[in-house]
Amino acid sequence: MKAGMTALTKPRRNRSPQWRGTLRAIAAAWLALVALLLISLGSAYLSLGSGNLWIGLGVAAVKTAIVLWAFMRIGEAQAVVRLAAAIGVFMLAILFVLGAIDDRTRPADRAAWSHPTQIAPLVTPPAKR
Amino acid sequence: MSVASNAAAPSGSRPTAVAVHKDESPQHRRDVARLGMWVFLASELLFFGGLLVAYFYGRLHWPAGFAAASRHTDVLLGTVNTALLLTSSAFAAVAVAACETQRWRWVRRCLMATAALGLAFLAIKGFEWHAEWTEGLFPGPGFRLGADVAPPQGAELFFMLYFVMTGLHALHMLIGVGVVGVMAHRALHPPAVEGEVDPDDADEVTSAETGAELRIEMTALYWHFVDIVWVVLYPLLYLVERHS
Repeated sequence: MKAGMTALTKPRRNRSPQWRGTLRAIAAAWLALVALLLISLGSAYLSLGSGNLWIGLGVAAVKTAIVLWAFMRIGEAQAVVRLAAAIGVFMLAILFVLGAIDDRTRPADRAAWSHPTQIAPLVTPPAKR
Repeated sequence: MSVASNAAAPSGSRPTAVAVHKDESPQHRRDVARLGMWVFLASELLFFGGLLVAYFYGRLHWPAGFAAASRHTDVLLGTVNTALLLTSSAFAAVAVAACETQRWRWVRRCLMATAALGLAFLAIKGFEWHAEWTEGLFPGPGFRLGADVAPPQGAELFFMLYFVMTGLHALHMLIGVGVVGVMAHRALHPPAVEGEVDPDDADEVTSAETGAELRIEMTALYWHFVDIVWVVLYPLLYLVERHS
């Protein structure tokens, strides 16, 4: 390498088949993500009951998986990295499960939620002149 | 050479950042940085997780209020913003791949595209918030759903969660845009390898390259995570009972 050349200006080759393959893979992932976005949007306008929520969450889960594998390349990561990610998801699951247990096991006669309302003032302010 | 041996070096030899890294293999540095970043992202997941639990609690208890409130969000702008973020993530992924093969022109352009799309997202989000504010959808004494002065129970809670979730997400986006912009700027003006480096020494140059690659890879990981958060928020905030 010639003197004074920095790391960021090294000449490199262009248009290798491997590079084109990488670009194609990322483009395919992007197309899949946009298609899933449209599916998610379209399904929201169908009356499917609780199915709307599950389809929305399911599509979001698939999109997340695509981003994780195609963009973040978690499949190529070391086992310890995948473990760190899995622990995050596991702790989130614990948060949801404990929240659900708390909700489901509360007494059934709990007070209903109500809007905060302004009560009448105890002392009537003097009338303005 | 380790940091400790640098400290004990003779006074005539100046320790440099490159020298410290010389005996750390690039692979080792990559592994440590990736693990650290993923642990950080796992903690961020739990940060948003608490809000998600609150959301599902509210949605299960006051489904009508959540549905009525969600129909007042701007689904078109939400969808456009989702598409912008997905596209920006694809550009970030290309930037990382280009960085690994030393295609610096691609790196610069893709990072600039990522930052530009991020800014577009924030601009649209700002416009959306302004419209919601003027419509009276911000929680508080003046809250109302359109002409409905007595909105169903849970509607105000939905918009409280909406503003907190999208606000925190936008804060993450703002940080991300800044960091991506810095990375693009650095790739635009390549820094010289620091210290007394022999330009013919391939190991030294590799060390500097690894540093640049790592910074861009870590930035992209953060960006993808922020993208994933929005992918989950989108159906929960914009697509509740749209068919009604």
